[in-house]
Amino acid sequence: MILTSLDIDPAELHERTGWAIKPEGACKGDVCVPLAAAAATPTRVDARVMSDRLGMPLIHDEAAGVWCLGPEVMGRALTTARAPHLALPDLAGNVFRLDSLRGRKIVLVAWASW
Amino acid sequence: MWQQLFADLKNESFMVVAVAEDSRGADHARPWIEQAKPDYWCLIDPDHRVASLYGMANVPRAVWIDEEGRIVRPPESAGSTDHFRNMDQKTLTMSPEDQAARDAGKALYVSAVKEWVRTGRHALDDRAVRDRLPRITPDVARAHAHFRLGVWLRRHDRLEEGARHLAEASRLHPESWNIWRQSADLDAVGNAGGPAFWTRVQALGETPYHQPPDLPGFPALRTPARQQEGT
Repeated sequence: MILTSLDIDPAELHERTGWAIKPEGACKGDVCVPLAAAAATPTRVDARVMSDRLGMPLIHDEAAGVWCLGPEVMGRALTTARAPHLALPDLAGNVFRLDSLRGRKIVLVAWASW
Repeated sequence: MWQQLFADLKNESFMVVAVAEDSRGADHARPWIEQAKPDYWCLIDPDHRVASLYGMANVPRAVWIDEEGRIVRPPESAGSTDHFRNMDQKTLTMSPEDQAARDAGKALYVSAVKEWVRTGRHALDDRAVRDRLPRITPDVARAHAHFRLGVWLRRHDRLEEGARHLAEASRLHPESWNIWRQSADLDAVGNAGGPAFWTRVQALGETPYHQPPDLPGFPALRTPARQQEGT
């Protein structure tokens, strides 16, 4: 996720990365990674701590004053076979949530015009 | 292919969600989507979020998700094969045999999807899915972050900084065609059929461009011979 400050709003962190800030730490699926209490409160999470604890790369572009917090490094792309949260816009810009299709089988196919 | 598949399964509890990995935005994907006249969902993913989540390095790649939201097939080639590698690069034509094999791959994939939707066949359990998910190394994770930042900078008219991050992404994750083909000037390197693309495909040697899906019938499809020298 793109950051303009190293303080992340936990709700946005959850929406963008799937990591939820709970009393026991940063949690996703069955995995919980403890975080220092000072680094993660209900209102802010320190991006540097997420990066250190979860192996998420934190890339800085100094000239533009922005960071990107990349995906966690935990072996495989996902730690469970549960389909991760996904919400993307259609051509008209309406955001569609994949989990709105629960109860149906889905083929999720990535393609490109190039 | 997807519209036909979806139409054939319209009485089943099934949906196709096609996600365009187009970092330059919806207008690049629009003509293709409008031509397909889809009744299924077509979404736009300029940040390559799906590729990053699932560790996909090329297109088309598909995952199958069941009624409970469980992944039952990991990212796999959606029926595409390597037969295009034997194409005559001047005329961009394929031999009838290679065309037939390529079409057979797509047909096999479509029938496997239909079987799964109707009978549950080909679904893998959680452990088998997890074991087949791509590995994310620290370099691959850094590549996805640089890519994301590069796309963001390019979108905000910081073209030079953007290009730097995109080039770094490709350096860190050289196996990713998704990143490479979106990293530089599209006309120079990105389009299939361009000289830089073919040079890179040839450099693969025995490595597949599309690893065939682990589904019945695919092993029997003839693996194309490597491209001839000088073609």
